[in-house]
Amino acid sequence: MIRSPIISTTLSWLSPVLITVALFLLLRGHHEPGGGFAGGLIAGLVVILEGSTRGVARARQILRLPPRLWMALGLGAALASGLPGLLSGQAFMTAAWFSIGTLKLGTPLLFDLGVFALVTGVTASLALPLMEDEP
Amino acid sequence: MPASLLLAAIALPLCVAPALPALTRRFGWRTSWLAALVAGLSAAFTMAAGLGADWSYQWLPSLGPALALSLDGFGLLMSALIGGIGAAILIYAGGYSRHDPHLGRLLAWLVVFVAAMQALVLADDLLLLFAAWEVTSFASFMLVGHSTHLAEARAAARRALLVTAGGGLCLLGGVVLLADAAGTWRLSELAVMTDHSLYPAIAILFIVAAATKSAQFPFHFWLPGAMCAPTPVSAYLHSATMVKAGIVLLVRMQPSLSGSAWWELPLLIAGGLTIVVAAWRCAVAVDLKALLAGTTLIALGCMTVLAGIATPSAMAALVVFLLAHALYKAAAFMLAGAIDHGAGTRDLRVLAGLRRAMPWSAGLAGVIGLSLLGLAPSASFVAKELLLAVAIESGPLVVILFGLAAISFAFAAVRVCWAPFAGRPSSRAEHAHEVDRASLIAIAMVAIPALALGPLLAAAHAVLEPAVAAAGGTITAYQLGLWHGVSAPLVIGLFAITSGLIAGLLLHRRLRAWLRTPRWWDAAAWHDALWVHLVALAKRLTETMAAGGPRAAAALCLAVTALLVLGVIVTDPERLPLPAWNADASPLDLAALALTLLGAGGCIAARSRMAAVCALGAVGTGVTLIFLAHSAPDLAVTQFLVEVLTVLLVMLAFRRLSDGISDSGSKLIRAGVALSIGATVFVLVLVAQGTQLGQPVGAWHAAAAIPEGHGRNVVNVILVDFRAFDTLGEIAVLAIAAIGAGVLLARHRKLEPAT
Amino acid sequence: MNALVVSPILLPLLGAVLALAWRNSPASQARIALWTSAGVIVIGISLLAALGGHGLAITQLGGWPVPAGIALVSDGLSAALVTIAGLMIFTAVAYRRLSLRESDPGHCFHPLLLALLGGVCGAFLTADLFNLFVWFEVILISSFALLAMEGRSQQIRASVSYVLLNLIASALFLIGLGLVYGKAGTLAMADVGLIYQQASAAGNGGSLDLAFALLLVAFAIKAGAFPLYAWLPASYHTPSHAVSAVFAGLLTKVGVYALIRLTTQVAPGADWIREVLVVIGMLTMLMGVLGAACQSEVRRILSYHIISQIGYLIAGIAIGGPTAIAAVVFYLIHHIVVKTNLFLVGGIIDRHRGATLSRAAGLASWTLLTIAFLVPALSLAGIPPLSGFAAKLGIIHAAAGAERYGIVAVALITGLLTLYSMIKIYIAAFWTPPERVVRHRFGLIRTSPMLGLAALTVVMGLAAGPVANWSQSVGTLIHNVDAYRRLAQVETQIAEPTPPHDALVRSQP
Repeated sequence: MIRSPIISTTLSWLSPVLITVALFLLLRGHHEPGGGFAGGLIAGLVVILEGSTRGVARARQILRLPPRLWMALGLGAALASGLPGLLSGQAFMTAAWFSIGTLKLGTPLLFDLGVFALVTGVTASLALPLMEDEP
Repeated sequence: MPASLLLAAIALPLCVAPALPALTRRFGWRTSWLAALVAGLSAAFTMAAGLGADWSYQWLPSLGPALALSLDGFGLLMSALIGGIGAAILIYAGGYSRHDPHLGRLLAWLVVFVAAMQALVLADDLLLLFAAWEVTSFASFMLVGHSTHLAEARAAARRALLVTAGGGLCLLGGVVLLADAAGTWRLSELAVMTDHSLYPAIAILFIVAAATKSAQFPFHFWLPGAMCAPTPVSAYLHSATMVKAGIVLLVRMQPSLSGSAWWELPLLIAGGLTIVVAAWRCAVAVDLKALLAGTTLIALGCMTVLAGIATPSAMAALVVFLLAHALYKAAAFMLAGAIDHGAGTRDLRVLAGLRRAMPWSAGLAGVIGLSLLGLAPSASFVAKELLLAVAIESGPLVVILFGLAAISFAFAAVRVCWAPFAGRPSSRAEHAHEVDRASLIAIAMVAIPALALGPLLAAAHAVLEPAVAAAGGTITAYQLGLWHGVSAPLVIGLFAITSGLIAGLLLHRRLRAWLRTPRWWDAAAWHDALWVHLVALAKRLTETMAAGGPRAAAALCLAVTALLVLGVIVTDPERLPLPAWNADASPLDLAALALTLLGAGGCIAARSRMAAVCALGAVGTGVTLIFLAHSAPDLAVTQFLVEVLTVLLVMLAFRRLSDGISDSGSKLIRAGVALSIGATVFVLVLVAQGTQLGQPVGAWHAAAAIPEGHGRNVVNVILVDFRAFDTLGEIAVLAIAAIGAGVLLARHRKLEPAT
Repeated sequence: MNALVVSPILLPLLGAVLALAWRNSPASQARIALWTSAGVIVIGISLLAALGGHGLAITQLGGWPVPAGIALVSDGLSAALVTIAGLMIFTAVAYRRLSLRESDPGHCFHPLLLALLGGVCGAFLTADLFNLFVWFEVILISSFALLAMEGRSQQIRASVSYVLLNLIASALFLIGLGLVYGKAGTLAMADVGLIYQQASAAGNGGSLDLAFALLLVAFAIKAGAFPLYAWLPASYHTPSHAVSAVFAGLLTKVGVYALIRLTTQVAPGADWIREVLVVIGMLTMLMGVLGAACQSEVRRILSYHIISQIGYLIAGIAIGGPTAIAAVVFYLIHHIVVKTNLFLVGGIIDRHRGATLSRAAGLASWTLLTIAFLVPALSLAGIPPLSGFAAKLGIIHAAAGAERYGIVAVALITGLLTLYSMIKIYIAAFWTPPERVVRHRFGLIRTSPMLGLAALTVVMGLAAGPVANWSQSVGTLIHNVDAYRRLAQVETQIAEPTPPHDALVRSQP
């Protein structure tokens, strides 16, 4: 853990910004560069930054759920996004779209959400144990 | 009905066998009577089926082979012998091995063996023949190794299996080639193959197979070794039936394969050498069963020679000799077992004077002795007459060989059937006792027919003729008679018997001294040494392959790749459309190139792990720049983030390790491998620039992204929609990797608690 | 059909997610694994029943037409292999509980096993080369985790070899794929095959030949072919017994399966590949069996035997043509069952007696285990009427028919050496009297996983006719690249790629 008040303070406003960026990348991904993968990586980066400066416990607190569950949720969401197609007799992963006003929502977005959650979980579950016991 | 009877002859023993161990646990040695009944029934079934019966089942229709049975005269004769002698020997086993805790297993495998032999002689399909052949080999392995607690038995069983299974594989090769060449798997449909281009190979493969099974030189050694099996096994497998399988094969193949030097010469040489080598073994044998094994080898050698000659009269002599030999040799082995049990030893040097202690055995020994000697009126006398007549037709060499055989038989007759019972009772004889009634009945069951059949053979000409004919021979009732006047065969035969008697009665000790086997002359040891050397070679090869560990293996993989790519290029360089050199690079491209090269160079030069990781990060950044320069912002963002995260994670992990790079092995080789794989990839990239062979599907993706995928970012639409299934797999990989890493880290912490 | 074809992949992945959620209850995890693999078996059998030897089923994932999207295509071979893969995982889970009676294997064991199953099924079903790569990765990473899971130093060492060489294979595969896409513009197997055929006819298939060279090496490494098999004997004897049995049955076979698809569908008519494979096949047979002959540990002997059997399969692929591929299909299925079974028994020997043969002795009193060993061992050595006999006969017969007598000779010699080492194990473990007598019994229930597979071996041998008929039609179908292509009806769906310009995300910094 790097104990430095400057970094700590910087992070206290940087982390929310980064998380916003991550979510932004996730949501705009379907139309502009970005997407769940890149968003997830940034979210993971936040976890690493928090963990190495303000402690692993703090990082876990930001995550709220254990990384393992993030992964399970992500994989589950990705799998689930394919099921509507399958259940309606079409091929697995056949996209279902519906619009709310001008906003088009569809199962691919759920899939991307799953990717986001999973990548976040993976990054966290790889990094946190490595940071937990300092050599 | 006849068809199902044929099938039953095989199926009945096969079905009963698995139950025998349990039955034996319940009913003890009496189970052997049931087993004998089964064997007898199986012979009765074939007899009831009648000549010409056949049955078939399409087992592998796509390839052609079927499970086909058909009954000809020779098959009937063999089937009767297998069932009849089998019944006697199973009864004998019940007596002989009464106190064996594994009697049930013994009986079961013997009965399996009956079934396999029946299948072998009844088979009308090359593949079924082979299948039965393999089962007999394996059953023999289980039976020779029956006394598993004896290291000697285990070694002998292994040797027997390796030799006979090796022959079996030759048979498989021969069968497949023959079926391919002849266009049929049916034995009865085989044409004469001597003109086919594969004929020499086929003939040799079949001959090797027969020689291994019938213990012909140079594979003869496994048979004497197999004598450490319980006596019923020796009597059945290694005298009467299994070793005859090779002869059966030769008889079956003789119509289509005989008639050329490829067939005749190998058989004459193998048979002849076997007779000589085995005669020597007989002369020096001190063990009763070893002596009998020697005479068995000689008999098989004679049959092999006859199969090689393959004239009608030779085949006729072969069939009659086979019949006679099967009967008296089974009896002789059972007698040897009886002596072993009664006197407690099989050592010919100490056996003497048993006639009082074992009167019944002595009487049966007399009966068997006549057959073994080849004296009238035994069936073997008739056989010997026929044999010598063929020999005289075929030339002096064969006369000498068969004469030597006759001398050895007579010698063995004296040593086995006379010497143990005659003379002053030795100390052993005083404690000797008569064997049980079941054993005596069993011996009589085959010994008496062996003797009594002689005068009946001429009368049974009508029965024997089909068997001879099926084997490709001809015979007249006159030839089967006992008396043909004072003929050359008779004179030679009498001379041989006299010599054998003299040798057996007077010279046996001196013979043993004169003919002491030189130490190097032990084919079994040669065989074992062959395997030892083979395994040593294998070890050296294997260790060479594994030397150098993962690093060498990785280098090998890369080198193979480079070689293969080079090979493809070299074999036809014109097929590779290399593009024209395109040198207009933007400044961003050049910057990316410089960064990448710098990173790669830094990675090579790095002296610490951390430095190397940072250098790799630089390479990644270079790649990011290339993506940016070529309008792939998505890839650039992702690549950059992955680089950052990788460097971070690897650094976190490396904090635990010593920060030095081990530097062993030749740098030159490593540089060579690295450069060659680099050059390979370079060529591949060049090639990739060339003309397209098909419409790239990416264009469709770009066109369909908005209307079909509802997104302007084609890359994202591909990732989450068009090819989302790939992404699904990849995120699964990520999750699995994280889980795996978590497990390993947890273990690591448990094993070496962090300080 | 859509659901049937995709569910052998989805079910294990869902099962893995579920099992991960139940991580604190090993018993429920095992139950989930059993039910999931049983489900895969059922699906596989229904696919098999629906397709027979001639049928093909396709699902185009996301509804996107091939080659724009990814298709899963199941023929008889895929269906059969999916079934067998499910069966092997089922058996392994049952074996761990019934036969070994091991305590908690760690909360990640069952999820990883299921992920492996999903990956294997994915590889068997996909009709897209890149998707195949993805499933290869799933298999590689999950098997690596299973291999190293117990964290013993021997296992870590083994997994270094394993991962290093397999990652090289993955890298080569990926480079090859780049080239394939660059040249053919598609990654759907049958499409690549068709384009290759047309290009070869026009005399410019050479650049694809280069790509295939890379795929060939990658698949050969995965299959464990000479001289690229170093990872296999270095690793297979180290993981826990149930895991090594699964590895033995499934992992290399995925590589062999990929080689079948490569030679018949991706690169049809590329004779040079088959000429290379002839040499590789023969050397693999010999080196594998020689390696086995000189080993003295049960699992090491069996590991080298895998290599030699892979040689048989590669030789069969090299011979080529419907008959030979039919023989390979038969052999493949036989081999998976038999090999897994032998490793299961080997695990028992290892557990109760120790790894080396000199210490394994006196197991003959366990009659059922003796049977469970003898049946697959003899089957492996090709003793009739067990499945190995018909399998070996098929390969040898095809070789003789194609006048590849070298393969016939090597196959026969290999057969003898195979028998040699099987007998070595048998004599040492079952005949040699033990130093101390075994008291406890090894009953029917404990032996049942192995006996079940042994029964399958016997049945497959006796019913060789129907199985061979089926594999014959599968072998014929596999060569019919057009059938696979027509199935996706490519021409009708992907036409006129005229992209609207603004659809492309371009030049945005």
